[in-house]
Amino acid sequence: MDKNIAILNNLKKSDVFKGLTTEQNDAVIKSGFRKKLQSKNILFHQGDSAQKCYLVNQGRLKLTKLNEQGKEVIFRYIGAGEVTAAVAVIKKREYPVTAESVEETDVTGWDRQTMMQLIQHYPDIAINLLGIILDRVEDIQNRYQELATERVEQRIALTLLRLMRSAGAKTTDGIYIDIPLSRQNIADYTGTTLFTVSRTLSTWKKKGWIKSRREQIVITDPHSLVKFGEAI
Amino acid sequence: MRQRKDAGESSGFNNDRGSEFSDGLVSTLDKMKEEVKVEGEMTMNPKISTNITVKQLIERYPQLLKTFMDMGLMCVGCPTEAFHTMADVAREYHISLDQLLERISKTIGDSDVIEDD
Repeated sequence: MDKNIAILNNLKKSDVFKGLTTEQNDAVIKSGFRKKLQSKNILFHQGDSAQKCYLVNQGRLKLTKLNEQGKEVIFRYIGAGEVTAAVAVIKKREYPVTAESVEETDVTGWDRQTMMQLIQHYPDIAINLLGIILDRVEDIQNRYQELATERVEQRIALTLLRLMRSAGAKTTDGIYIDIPLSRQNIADYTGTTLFTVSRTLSTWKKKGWIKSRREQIVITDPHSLVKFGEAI
Repeated sequence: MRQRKDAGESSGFNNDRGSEFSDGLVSTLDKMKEEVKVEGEMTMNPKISTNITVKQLIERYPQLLKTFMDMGLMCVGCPTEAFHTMADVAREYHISLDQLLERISKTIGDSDVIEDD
């Protein structure tokens, strides 16, 4: 019962269902099905037929693509209240990415037929999805621009700030990035190598801009990082 | 490692750099204080918490965007806007928290706010 309430609360928070009443949220949640994933489980694979789209109720998914050589590129992290694969499902496509849980994760899924019915019942969902897709296109455009124009150290700074913005939690030390984040993950998200990430983070650690432990990063001096990332 | 001060600890201008910005701000703020005194009870300035974040504040009072810009505080749109409170802003920019809050309250008090909720 408590869990259902938690899910409803998450639905209320989710941008996809903005504008729906509590009763409508209730109907939407009932039409989906819940799935629990342990850490590091695959929810769906890149290239599989997109049967369902998902809302994260709790936890976090990592969306990645592999190239022919097996090199992983991280597209984004999806946290509570965020959806993934909605467009692929509506358009009857294949999943464009692989979704893997980075911690214990609870999702609600809807198949194509249900999703289409929901959209027809509540056109707000389609409008909200449009806004979400626009935000993601903008994010990718910004990151592409950074990839083409910025120095690699600046890109690493911007990557950390981007992750901080979406998954940051304030602590007495600074702002903690609440995603298990290896240096390889940062490299895969930034489009650089493990070596460069390690070297750069060590420099920043010495400067007191960040604190890091295994898979954990706290940004202790975000202002210096912003100035560096934006070359102010 | 840098240690963060407790929120609200900052007081008075930490003006060791003697920037013109801060000096200008002091005189502007003093002037504003005078005005507030004169108006007395007429001015109903909303109380701003030292723990409100930049993002929350701007969402509630979008007119403050200009105030932040005028004060040279590049907080709006910064990745830290959802985390940094007024106390953090005062500390990062070496300005007085009291005077920052006062200026914010004054701006809000002066404008016709239509609360949309």
